[in-house]
Amino acid sequence: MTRWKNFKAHLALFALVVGPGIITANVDNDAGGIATYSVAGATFGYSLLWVLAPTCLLLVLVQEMCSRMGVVTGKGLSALIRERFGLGVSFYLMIALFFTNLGNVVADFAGLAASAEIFGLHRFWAVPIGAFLLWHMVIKGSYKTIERVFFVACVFYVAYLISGFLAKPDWSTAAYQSVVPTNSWTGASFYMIVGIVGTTIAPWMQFYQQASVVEKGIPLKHYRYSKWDTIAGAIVVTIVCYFIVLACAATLHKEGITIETAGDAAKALKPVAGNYCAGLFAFGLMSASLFGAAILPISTATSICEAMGWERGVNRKFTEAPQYYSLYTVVLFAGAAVALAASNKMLVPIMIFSQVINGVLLPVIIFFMLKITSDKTIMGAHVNSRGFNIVAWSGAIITASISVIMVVMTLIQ
Amino acid sequence: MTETVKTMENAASPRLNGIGENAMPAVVFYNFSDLLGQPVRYEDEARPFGKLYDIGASTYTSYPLAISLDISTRDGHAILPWSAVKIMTEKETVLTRTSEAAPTADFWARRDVLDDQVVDVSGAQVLRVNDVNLIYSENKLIFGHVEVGLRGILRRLRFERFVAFLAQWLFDYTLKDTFVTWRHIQVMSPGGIPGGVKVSKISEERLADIHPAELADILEQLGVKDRQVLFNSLSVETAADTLEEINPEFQRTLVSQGEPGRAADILEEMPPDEAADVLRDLGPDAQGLINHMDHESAAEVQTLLAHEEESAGGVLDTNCLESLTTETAASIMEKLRILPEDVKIYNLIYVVDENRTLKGVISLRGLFRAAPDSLLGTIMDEVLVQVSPDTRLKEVARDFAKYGFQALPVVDENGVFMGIVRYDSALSQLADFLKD
Repeated sequence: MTRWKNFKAHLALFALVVGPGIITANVDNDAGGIATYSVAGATFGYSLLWVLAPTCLLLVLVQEMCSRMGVVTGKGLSALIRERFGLGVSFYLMIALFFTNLGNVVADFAGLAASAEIFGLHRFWAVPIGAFLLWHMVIKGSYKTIERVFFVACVFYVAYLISGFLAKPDWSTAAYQSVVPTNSWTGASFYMIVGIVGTTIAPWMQFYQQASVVEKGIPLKHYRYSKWDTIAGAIVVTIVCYFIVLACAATLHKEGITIETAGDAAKALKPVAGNYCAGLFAFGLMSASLFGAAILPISTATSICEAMGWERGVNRKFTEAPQYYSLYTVVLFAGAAVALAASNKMLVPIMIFSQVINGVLLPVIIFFMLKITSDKTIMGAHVNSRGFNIVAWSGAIITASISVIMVVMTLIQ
Repeated sequence: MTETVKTMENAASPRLNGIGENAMPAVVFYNFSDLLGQPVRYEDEARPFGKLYDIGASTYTSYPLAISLDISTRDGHAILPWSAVKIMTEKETVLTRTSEAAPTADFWARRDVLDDQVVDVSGAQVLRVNDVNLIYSENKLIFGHVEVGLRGILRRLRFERFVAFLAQWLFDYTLKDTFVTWRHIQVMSPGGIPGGVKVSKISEERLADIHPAELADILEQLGVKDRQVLFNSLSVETAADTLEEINPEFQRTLVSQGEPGRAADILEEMPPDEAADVLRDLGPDAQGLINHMDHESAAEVQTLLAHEEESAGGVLDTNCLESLTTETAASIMEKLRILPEDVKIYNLIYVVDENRTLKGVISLRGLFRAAPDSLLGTIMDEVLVQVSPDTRLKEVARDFAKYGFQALPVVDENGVFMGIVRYDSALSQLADFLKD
């Protein structure tokens, strides 16, 4: 009886803090994510599945640091970087973040364009209408309601789980290659690995999750519940991407189909949806794209304004926070414009390229985070443990090395 | 922007030309960022032994005064007293040898101010500091302003001249400095140590003048520790008013991480339904605080907590004026005159019998018109609408929308008057009805 009571008390406290981790993780599977995982499965079969487990571990470590920093300091990540490393460093980092996030917004609009094309709607209509609706929604402050709608739309990913089973994958090969790397070490596979890491642990996620934790005002003594939130989010995200890769490997790769447009990627859902797979995929891709395109410009504007000390937040008027609204608007519409200008064949490569850029910036962000979370004057008793630091530093160094190898190999070719 | 943020063109312009001691003008303005990293040497040596890393100040005066220096040398940091400074220029700092120990600084400019958040207590806003303007006069270094505008950012990024030129050439626009005088600046917890800098007397007085809604806005923008320090420096009354205005997510942290006795005092000061809202969010920690509250407030809050949040009982306000059928109009008028400030007066006064059974209502207008000696029982109107403590807030809101009252009486199953529901308690639900 008391155990049940205890459990209920824990659950109640968990309910108070849950959200930032799980929501961030689900936005993480945006258009860039779906494209990257699909291409990884279609091109490399099961052979890159081994990347997911260590990526998931690094994702937990990185996002845990964010929510810990948020709870302990009550400040956003960019504010902490500004205070710890000064204006110069933060300024150039914010420029990098701006362009990286812009790449992700482009990917999301590319996803919107691609899904609209499947529905037979020309992107000349879909992209501007989507951009304007999102812009209007944030200016009118109905963003939180829409967030819930998108969140519910995430059940779409269940389709990949079912498809993954129905496609009858070669389970023993899949299981073996989930643990042991057997892929060839070419420039293309390095490019793909950086893309997978970059889309799973995108730099904007750290800023976004920390901001959400701060906004939620989670008290320090309830922090451990926040940790569960982060871990739950990371596990959900990893399961989803595992099954996207698996489903694509078992269908597209087996039949030798390479993904050139989103329509090709949709065929991975054939086992579950038959001839309706294109429609199902387009629906999922569209909601994921809109979810990403709604959150990324806000997150970008918030991070930059926080670093530069400008007023921010959708509850302020334009005249009170001109930089915030300008940044938001520029990121949103510039992203839409690039996606509009690109040719149909370019959409999928754009989505993947943006995730590769994520992967290149990621180790830099992790470096700053590790410095801050090891600083006693900022974190007090909640600094990283020795073991944590060893694992996280190795993760960052490995990620950085893979990025460097990728860049070098791409330049050589 | 408020009046304290004045734009002063070229205030930082007088620069030092020659470095000769005699050529020294009486007053020189320095930007702190320009001094950082400049070489420091002893007067009897030509070679610098380190670089200026930070300047420590005393807040004893209303404009802080530099009292110590942090110099980074090859063997680590050396902390020296300001009295060792013979001359400080933008190119170098020359010291005389001293055996004095450096006094303890109240804050350090680089560690605690530059790139950090400060509170402008006059303009009621949180600012991030882009630079600090120092006044160097008679070998004293005084903290004059903080720079919070774009120009400070550009200067530190070394784009100032370029952007200023472009702005002038393209748009005929002169870049302006945005300063806030140090008199209005409250430095927050230095080095992340809460309470490290005491909130100054001036700040405390000015903070009390700021509207609670603005104070809440300031607190929301600060980090956890700074927020708590500033909140703790407020008087119990101001803290209660501010807590009502602040984002509910931060309420529970401010209350649960503060000292329980004080938190209980603040909750007592709040309207009981607001206090109950805060306590409800605290979950299991609430009981500890209720135990600290005085008996009456605790009982009131517990009654509210016993009811569901979204019901009339959950937002019950017992702090209202009620009168007996046997009282006269004149005696009620007198009661109104001496009513404590926290009891809100709405248009209707509730009339009960000796068992506190609700018998009727009388409007203020009716009261003024009645003969002074008439008994309330004879002049009161019947109760048009009343709700029970279990009535859903949605229903209550519908009644507000329908009848247009500012408050509704709450009676239990025996018709006994319990208190009122104020319209603002049902405001969130009310909005749904007003849209139609």
